Amino acid sequence: MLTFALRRLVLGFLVLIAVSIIVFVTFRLVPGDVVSQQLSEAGAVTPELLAQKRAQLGLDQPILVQFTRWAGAVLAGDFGTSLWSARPVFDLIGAAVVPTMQLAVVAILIGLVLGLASGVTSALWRGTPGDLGLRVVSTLALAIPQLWLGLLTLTGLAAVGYFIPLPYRTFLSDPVVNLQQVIFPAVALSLGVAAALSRLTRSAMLEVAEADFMRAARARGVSSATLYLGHGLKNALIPVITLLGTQFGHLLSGTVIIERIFNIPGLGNLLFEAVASRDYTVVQAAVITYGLITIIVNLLVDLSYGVVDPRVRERLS
Amino acid sequence: MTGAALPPAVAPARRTSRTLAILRGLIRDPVGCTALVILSVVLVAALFAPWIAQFDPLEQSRRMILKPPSLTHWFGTDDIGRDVFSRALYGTRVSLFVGLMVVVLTMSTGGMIGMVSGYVGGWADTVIQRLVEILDTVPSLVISLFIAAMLGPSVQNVIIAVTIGQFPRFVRVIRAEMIKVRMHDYIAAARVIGAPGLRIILTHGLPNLMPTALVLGSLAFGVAIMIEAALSFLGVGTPPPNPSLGTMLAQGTRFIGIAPWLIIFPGTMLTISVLALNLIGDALRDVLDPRQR
Repeated sequence: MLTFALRRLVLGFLVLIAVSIIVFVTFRLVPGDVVSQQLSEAGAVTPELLAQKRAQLGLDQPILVQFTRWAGAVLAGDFGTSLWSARPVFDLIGAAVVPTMQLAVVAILIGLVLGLASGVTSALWRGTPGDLGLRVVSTLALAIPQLWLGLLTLTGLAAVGYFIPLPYRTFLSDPVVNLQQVIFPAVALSLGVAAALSRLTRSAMLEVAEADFMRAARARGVSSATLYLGHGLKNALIPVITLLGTQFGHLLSGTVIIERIFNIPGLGNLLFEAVASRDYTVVQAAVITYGLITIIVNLLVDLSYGVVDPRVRERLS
Repeated sequence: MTGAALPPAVAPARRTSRTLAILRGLIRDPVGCTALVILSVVLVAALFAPWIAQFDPLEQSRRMILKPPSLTHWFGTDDIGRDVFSRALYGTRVSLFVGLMVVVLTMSTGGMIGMVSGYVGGWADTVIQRLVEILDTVPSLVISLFIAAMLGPSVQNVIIAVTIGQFPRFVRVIRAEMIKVRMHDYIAAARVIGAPGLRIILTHGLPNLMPTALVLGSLAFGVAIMIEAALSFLGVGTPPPNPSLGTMLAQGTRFIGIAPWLIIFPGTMLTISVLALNLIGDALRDVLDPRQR
């Protein structure tokens, strides 16, 4: 199990290196850089000024030199400073990751609870109007873009005269305000996850319900609730975990939009602003951070198969 | 996985009847029928937008600023007096066009790469899979946002950006299917009589992968529409003054609580389009793969 986890970590690390190379090269192949953008905003563009500023930032060096310099610094734990605000990139990313992760984790928990509950209920009520209703709702929820759901939430809140307090506060500095700021975007993010989960749980439960061990348990007189939750759900969990892993990626995509709508200073907002101002160092670090989060989540998903299913545990060790 | 398990509609000899059979299956399926009706309404609205819309989507009117829905302006007007209904129709047109182009591009490039990767195997397969894995590590919207911002706002660049974000999934699924198909005896037989690899892929692989590709394609269509809207919302998608559902929503955020119709109607068009495509995907899966029913 441990060697498996280590191997995955090493692979993940290699993938991250590849991601950073691609981002690094793409950025420099495209015309327009932070210097010309900064200077044109200041309204003073002369070729000498451009060259001087570029040399100062090391942008006049060949790509390979720039990359080795940057990669060497990153390996030493130094992500450089933002080309735009001159603040350390590490601090910017560190401050932005917290709101994003909080949002994603709260959303996935809400989605998990809603999705499992609705999926199991749907399976238990198979063929009844209740089942149909739940399925219609989850089909609808899958089709509503997170973008619109977020805006609708704001519209609805405005209609009842509630406005989310601003500016953003972290959970540690002001938990009450923070929760008010996080709960609505988290719900808007979670509905898609809940819907996908509900459909999958329903079909997984129905499939398990046909299994021999379920018939045997019923014959032994195990109560309906224990039967479905203890035996059924437990065996339906593997596909559910796989789905949670893939849904986490969608959720991260969704945070980019939702953070903008709800003014949350997370990774998505940081990335968006950095991309718009061609702030290489920040964009690189932000994309790599997204990659790192995905790799860690995938690793956790793989490891949790072993926790849920003893057969997997045996095969891995 | 023998011939008996394959859907009966997949008879490589008669192509037209197969398309007809799929269509007939869709119409008979209650979900598919509903989806087809919704999608045709959306398609007609988008295709015939110039005839249906009573106003020019770019025409401004100083006297009609932020007016709520009325008989003349069904969806109301925006902050510079443009008709939201006309704009939503034209916006849907852009969304569907971008979605269609993305699907065509992902299906052809992603599908081809996936088929070759699955058929050839070996080191080429390994290289392709590692590349896909790298793209897959970063959330697709982040990739598309990055590329769209790099290339600059234009419809063409949005199509490229969304395609690059979407095609890893396509490659992965098609490759897995191709590996299954490769095991069949008729492929081995074709190889034995000396058919070249490309021909085997195109004449034997492709028809068998069509069901999977169609289902995947209709779902990717919906996702592409959502991502186009998201990119336009962020200001790196379809450039103004072209009406796009995403830019309309971005505009609406400035009037939340004052003019909710700026949010409600463009979003409804967006959701209806995605819903119809998702439902068609669901129905196609049922029609093409009776085992899952």
